[in-house]
Amino acid sequence: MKASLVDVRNMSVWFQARTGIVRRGKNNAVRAVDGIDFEMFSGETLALVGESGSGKTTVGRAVMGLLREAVGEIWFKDLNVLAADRENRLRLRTKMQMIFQDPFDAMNPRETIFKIVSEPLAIHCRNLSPASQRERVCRALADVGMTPPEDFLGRFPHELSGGQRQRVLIAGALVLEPDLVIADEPVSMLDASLKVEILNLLVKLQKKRNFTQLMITHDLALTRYVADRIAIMYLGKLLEIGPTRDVLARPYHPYTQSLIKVVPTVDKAWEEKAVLSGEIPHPSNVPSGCRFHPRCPRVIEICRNRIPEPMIVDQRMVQCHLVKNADNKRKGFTNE
Amino acid sequence: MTGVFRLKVFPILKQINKKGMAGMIILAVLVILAVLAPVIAPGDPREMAGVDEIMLPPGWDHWLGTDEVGRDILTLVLYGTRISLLVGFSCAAISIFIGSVIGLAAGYFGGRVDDLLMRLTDLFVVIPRLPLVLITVAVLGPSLVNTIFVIGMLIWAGTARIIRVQTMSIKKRLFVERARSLGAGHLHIIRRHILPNVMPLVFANTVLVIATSIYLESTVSFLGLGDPTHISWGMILHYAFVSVALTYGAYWYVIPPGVMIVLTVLSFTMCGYALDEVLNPRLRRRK
Amino acid sequence: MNAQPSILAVNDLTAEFRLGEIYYPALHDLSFEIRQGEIFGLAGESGCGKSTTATAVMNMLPENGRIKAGQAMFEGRNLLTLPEKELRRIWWGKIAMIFQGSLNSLNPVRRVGSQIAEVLVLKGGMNKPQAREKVNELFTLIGIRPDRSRDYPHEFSGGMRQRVMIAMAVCLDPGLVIADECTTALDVMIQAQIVNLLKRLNQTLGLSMIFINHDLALVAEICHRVAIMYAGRFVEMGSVGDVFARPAHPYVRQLVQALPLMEGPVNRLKSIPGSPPRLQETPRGCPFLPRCIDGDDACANQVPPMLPVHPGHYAACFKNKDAHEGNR
Repeated sequence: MKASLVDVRNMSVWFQARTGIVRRGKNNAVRAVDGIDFEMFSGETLALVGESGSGKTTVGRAVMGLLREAVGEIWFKDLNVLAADRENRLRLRTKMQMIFQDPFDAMNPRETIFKIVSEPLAIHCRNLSPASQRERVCRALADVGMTPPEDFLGRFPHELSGGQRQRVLIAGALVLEPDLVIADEPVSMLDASLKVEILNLLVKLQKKRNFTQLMITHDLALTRYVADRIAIMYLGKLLEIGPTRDVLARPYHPYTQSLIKVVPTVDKAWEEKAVLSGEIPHPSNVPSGCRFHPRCPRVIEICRNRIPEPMIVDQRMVQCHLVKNADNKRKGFTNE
Repeated sequence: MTGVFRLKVFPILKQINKKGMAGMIILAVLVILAVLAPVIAPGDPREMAGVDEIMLPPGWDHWLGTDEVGRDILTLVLYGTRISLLVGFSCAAISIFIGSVIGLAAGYFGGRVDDLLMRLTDLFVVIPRLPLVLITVAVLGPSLVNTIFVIGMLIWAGTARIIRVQTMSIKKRLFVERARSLGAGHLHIIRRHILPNVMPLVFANTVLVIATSIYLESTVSFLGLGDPTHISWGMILHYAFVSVALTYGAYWYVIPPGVMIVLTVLSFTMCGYALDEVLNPRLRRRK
Repeated sequence: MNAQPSILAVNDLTAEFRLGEIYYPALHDLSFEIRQGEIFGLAGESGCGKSTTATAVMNMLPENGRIKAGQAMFEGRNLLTLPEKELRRIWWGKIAMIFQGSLNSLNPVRRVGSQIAEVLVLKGGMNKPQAREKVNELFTLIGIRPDRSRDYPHEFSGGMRQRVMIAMAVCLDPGLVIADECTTALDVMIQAQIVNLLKRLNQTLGLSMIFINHDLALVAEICHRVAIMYAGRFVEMGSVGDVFARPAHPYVRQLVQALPLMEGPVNRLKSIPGSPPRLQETPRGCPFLPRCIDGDDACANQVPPMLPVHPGHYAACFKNKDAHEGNR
């Protein structure tokens, strides 16, 4: 049984809508994430997949400890991120790093590549000599394929291509040698061939430096190639988690099934698919019972009234009333 | 650092339009005049000549004529440049400092800090400037320091607002979020990300604030509340008015200081607008 | 498929853009035709020129662009030489365009139905009752309840607004619709709804379409024929079956190998090293040569023309192998 690096227990993130000087109660809350549980094992890549409003980006930020609104428990090794004191929170920052969706916006346009990549060092390792800083930055740049690294140190973000910018950001995330990397849609703004380049790079780096990866994405097809396990989110809830190839080949949850049917791939011709009707409700107005019931093609009566319990079915966690043969545990399946 | 210099200054110089160039040239001339006033002024501003030198029209001895106590007006105007520019820059410095601190704090910390500071700013925006300046100077007594102090204290509101908005916009940018996710504290973020991206705006705004300060000082002096020991253009106009120069047809007394005030304010304004034009597109995303 | 007449025939379209003082070529000798009732795909990565092609064909290039050569024959007339007044009559009425950002181009202070009705009255010559009737028809067509036509744009989600834009585009029964990245920035489920709608419009109304998208999988799914662009040129054209399953051009072959599938073995996807030439660089030979494993001197000296691989299937490559099996 692999070691668990991250253990999220009953985590919720509710954003209060600020109305005037006096804040209203729960009624106006945007339930971005609503009571989710999952684990991440050392060295694996977990893909967190969902459409807009699913809360996947919020989960990423919550695990990083960036959201004051997050409640519940997020265990990183032996520390609860949400209850950590200031000193520990700072220490956590060196262990968890984030890669962002828009590489251009994630860089200060007035700073050189050297400054951008060395920013983590400037914050956490102030005693490093300039020579050591330079050496570490160059090593990180070389690792991400920007060679020779010295050529890039003095350049500015606008002088680089999209792929290069993302590489620089990845270098910046790795310079402190984190244990966990949270990649928030790292390739969605890149072209098809570049997507592959960056994803291959992340896989290579993960093997070399042995970090765990949480990849937040909406692109289901790509997860097949990069993720060990996949977690499907919808409107703040985790609907299904399991080994990627298993889930994609034999999806249990109706939402997962619909998502898979709808993904365009270059070898498939169009059929008037079982496209889900309607749209995702706004997170401030969630349906009762199972969040997905208004759009579910296989809805039954109980779905409208009762939130389904997470069930474990051969290495898979599913939250659906239709899934029988459940071991009614809260969570805790192993990953062999 | 040279990279940043390259990024900031040279593109700016290339893009300044004709208005801006004109403004900058006039400004340069004014600064030279102010600095060299003691050297190039034909007379001593305090020197009062004899009775036959009073109210002389422009001639070879006195290029701009003399005033009612025989002082050479050209000298007065040149020395006036020093005072006006001094006032302009000093007031701007005070106001920029106050405005930046308040604007940054309000924009960065948000919430109740923002509310409080903005109500304060609103107060200073709403109160009519000129009456307030006049009353305060009248109460504190006419001196250059008082004038600078009062003007500086009262015109920071516009700067504060601009900086607040810009700070709020920078704060939302992804690179600030990245810095935060890296564990950066407030000081790091403000110093490294917010300030450098806010300063160009401050720069452009400063120029307009200087223009306003000079204008306000001229008005205060004209109305007789200026410092009698320092000659500013407003003071010259004040004496011109008091000595009923126009009734004597002494146009040479009134026009030079008036023209100088207009020219100075105009040149700063032109520079300010040109800078704004240059700097704003760069604040937008480059693809 | 050759039996169908073509409704748009473009020949040797060449266009250029001004950067600073100099004009750089952006589109080179593009020739293609859109047949009646087909969905024609224009695909490629960013900067390849696909959106530019659409705006050039419509003679709607921005201020710093100009057409250097070529014709775009529509209903017997060359769109590129028509005076603006004539063009205006064709825009929307005969050829309609849907853009990526169009879902945000609805007037926020007017009801959605009245915005469509306005087009029908002003350009379609209908009176108010006729327009209202047609609006209801259109809403049913796009799958939204007709009574929602009295709502304001902010009451609709992004996907629904896009559907409204499609309704507005087809409201005057144009012969040709150009959809430029109209599914980008939408969720995959909403994308599927839009795709369904476009396919339905094509099948029930016989609407011909040019579908421009950077997502090759989407293009493969929805289009009948496709042209892949690279550096402002066509590199391969043919039916989607031919081009995607049996690509003949090295770029397209490698591109298809970079696309993930939901089934089949999971080998590492392969990327294409290097990057496309910038607008300012116009190589003398094949633009893909620096990144091509098969290239040689012949490729460096002359730009390969579109050579036949198979009936109806063309590739701009001197080395193209005819009808070889797909390499998955």
